[in-house]
Amino acid sequence: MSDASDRDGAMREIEELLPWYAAGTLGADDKRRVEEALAREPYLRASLETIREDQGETIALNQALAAPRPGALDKILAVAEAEPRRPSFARRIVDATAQWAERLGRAASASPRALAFAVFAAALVVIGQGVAIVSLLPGGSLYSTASQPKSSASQGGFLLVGFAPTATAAEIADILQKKGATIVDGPRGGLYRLRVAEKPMTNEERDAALAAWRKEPIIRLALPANER
Amino acid sequence: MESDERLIARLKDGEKLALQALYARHNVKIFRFVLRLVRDEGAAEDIVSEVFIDLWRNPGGFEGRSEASTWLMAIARNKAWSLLRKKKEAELEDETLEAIADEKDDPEVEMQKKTKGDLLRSCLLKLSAEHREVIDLVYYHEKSIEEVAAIVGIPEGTVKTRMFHARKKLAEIAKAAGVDRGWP
Repeated sequence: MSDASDRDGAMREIEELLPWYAAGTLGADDKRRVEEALAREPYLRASLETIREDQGETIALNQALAAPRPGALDKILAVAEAEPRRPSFARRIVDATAQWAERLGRAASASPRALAFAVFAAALVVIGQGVAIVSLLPGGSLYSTASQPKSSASQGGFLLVGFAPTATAAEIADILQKKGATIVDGPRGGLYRLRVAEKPMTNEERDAALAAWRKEPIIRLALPANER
Repeated sequence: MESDERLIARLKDGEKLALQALYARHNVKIFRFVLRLVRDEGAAEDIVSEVFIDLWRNPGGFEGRSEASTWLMAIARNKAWSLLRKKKEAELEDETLEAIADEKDDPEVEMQKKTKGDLLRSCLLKLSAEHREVIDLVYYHEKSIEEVAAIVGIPEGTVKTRMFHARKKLAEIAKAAGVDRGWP
């Protein structure tokens, strides 16, 4: 390769790094290389000016964009409320240990023999509780949701649905019958977990089901449910 | 301020307040990133909601290999592109043609009508989704080469090349609109 093409290649390499140099997100080594090249090449300095102009307009354009509506968080919290999770195994052990530490503090005022017995008993209880908790978790998972299907009978396609406050029991029964759906859990955070299909839905099927439920006048909110 | 990593750890213990804190910290930037891709406020809002619902359901998906904001943007980006792919290509092309057809004036009239900043911003709107994405990530979201690679799911070398071509395309569109900055 000739000296000229080597130089062109090196210039192109520096040119490609300029946007990150302008944004201040280059690593130390690359930053030094760019600064050395900028000191030598007026062409690169002109290019950097153009980049800074583009950067300013890109920031202005993005900052002029809207933000999510204030109610958007409510929808997310409604799902979190409908699908609460157990604290992690580690957290439950810490909490249990803290409770026992508090009891031990009280026991410390008792005799050394009583204290030693209390420590031994606490250790046994904490270990035993951990084993019991893990044995309760489905599939050995450390997390679970209250709306998680509990047996094969509750497998299928699910949605989280909130009914309008004005919806009557008869209207709700009608729509469930019309759509062949059943309420399997809830309300949690105002949402019910509905079984709307016999088998787990594909993303397309879920989107179509959501669109159909959202069209119903007595439906306030319809969201994807955890299928796990 | 409590770190994102700490908030995600609290989320694993089922703390809804941690979810609210993470949402407050990241929702606007993620929304704007998605909105620039899908160009539909309702769809962008749905995607942001899905991202945070996913986070609630599976905070263990965050392995700490990147910043939480980078991880969340990668999830949002996948959802946005999935939506874009669902749209018919013909529809997208129509939209692009309409956007270009709006700019009927010749360059001189354009220059009289708008400031240089207005013109450049309208040129940024005309970039392809692929080019808009990389320009926004670098200039507005201030993501490093490594972070853009993680969000977009491409090698770092491709990130640099794509950014170069995005700038080149922007220069061409700007030149056609009457702003010749002598590059490329």
